[in-house]
Amino acid sequence: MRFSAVKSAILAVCALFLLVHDGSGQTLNGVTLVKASIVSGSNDASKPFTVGLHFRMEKEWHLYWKNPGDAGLPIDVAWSLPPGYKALPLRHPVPVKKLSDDATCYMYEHEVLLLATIVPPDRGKQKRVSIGAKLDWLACKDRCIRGGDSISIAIGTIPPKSIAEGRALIAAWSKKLPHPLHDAGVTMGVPAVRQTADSVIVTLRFSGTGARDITDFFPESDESFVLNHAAVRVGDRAVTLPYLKAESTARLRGLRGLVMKGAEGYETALSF
Amino acid sequence: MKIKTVAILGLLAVGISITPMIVPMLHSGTGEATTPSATNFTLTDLNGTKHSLADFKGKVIVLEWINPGCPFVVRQYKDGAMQSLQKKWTEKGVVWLAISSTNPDHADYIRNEGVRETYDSWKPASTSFLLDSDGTVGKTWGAKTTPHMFVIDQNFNVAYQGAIDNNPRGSKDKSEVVNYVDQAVSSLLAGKTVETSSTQPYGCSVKYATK
Repeated sequence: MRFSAVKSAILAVCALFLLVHDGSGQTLNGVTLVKASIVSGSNDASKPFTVGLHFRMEKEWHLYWKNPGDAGLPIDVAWSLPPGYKALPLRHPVPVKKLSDDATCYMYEHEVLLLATIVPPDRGKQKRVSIGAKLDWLACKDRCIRGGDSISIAIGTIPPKSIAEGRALIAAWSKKLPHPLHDAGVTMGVPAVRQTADSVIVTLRFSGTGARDITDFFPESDESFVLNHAAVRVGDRAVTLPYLKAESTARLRGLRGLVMKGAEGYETALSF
Repeated sequence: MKIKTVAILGLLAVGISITPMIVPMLHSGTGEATTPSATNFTLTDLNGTKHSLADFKGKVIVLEWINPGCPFVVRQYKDGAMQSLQKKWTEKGVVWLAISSTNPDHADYIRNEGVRETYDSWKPASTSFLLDSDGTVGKTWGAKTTPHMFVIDQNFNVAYQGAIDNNPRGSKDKSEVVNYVDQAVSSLLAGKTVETSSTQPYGCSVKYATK
């Protein structure tokens, strides 16, 4: 009886520890530069649910968007999921663009929540599962330091208070995700694409009431093309993007990125 | 494909009025894509000896922008990958110039003996380690990251610019890693066309002086 009580207590402590495993974070000289954690707004793993990867950065330090720009490295996430479960592509909030050391970079400062929908299998759904993520990042201020962590959350055993907090955080950061392009009040015309043996210049033209308010364009990266980020031009309801080809045989088949109106981003996906 | 990477970057710059820093690398501003001549410079090495790029005309030259405080650079040297590449090609007559454009006020800047000690501890096989503390040469060449690599052909034209390899995270199996500099130098010495002339460099930003 006594042994049983001790065993139960130990199990309870273990269970508590396993509910949410925040990583130890990335530290420098005793200061936590980046602290990563995982949140969920649902305790039911038998239906699709959203998790958020929460990164909190020390003042003046930053992490990078999926296209870091001229320098940097995007946050990399390797999921650890139960058999049959899958993670849909990460959804990235709109970053900020900064010019640093002659490099144009797209980054997150202070904190960011990357969102992903976890989809259970059609059969063999479980109410309780562990969702893990192995993270790799580059944190920079005036200097850069590689960082990473492994974090997890046990869906089905999360306390109601944590669920509420997770739901609120996911809701808040969902508002910072890019909007559909039509929400910008603009219509995109047929893009002009000029391809030579070595380069491609793409001009996107917009019409509509919001076209004059376009302030910038944040391109996603394409490994077959090199964009001179400092050379992206915005004006007169048009965006011009000059690319270099990695190889002469490369053909630009499409383009993805964010049409920016101030701090708001609007998703654009084109096929040529 | 005859390689025109930097020229085209510059021509694009001319065409749409971008930053002029690459323009000095062009033959002309005609708007035609012409093979770029490498822009000459003269820099001092760790021993105080001056080196001009033009002194090496006729040889294949590799420029490696370096910052011993950058984790991407450190990984290349801790793995021994950069030294191996340097050794492989300098033994065949290739000139390899490592250039630091880190400004003296930056936390990553290592002063004279310190940088020599750090660099020597990696047992490099480069031709010289050059100091560009005011960043003039780095900005002229459009060096964005450490490492950022340039390969110059025997006609003093830029044949390749970009990343050292396709392994920014250092997580790929060796069999999957493509070293673009190795490819470019190999092609040039074999008298072949450099197929991949431009890639997106990765790493830390170059720590240029702000004024």
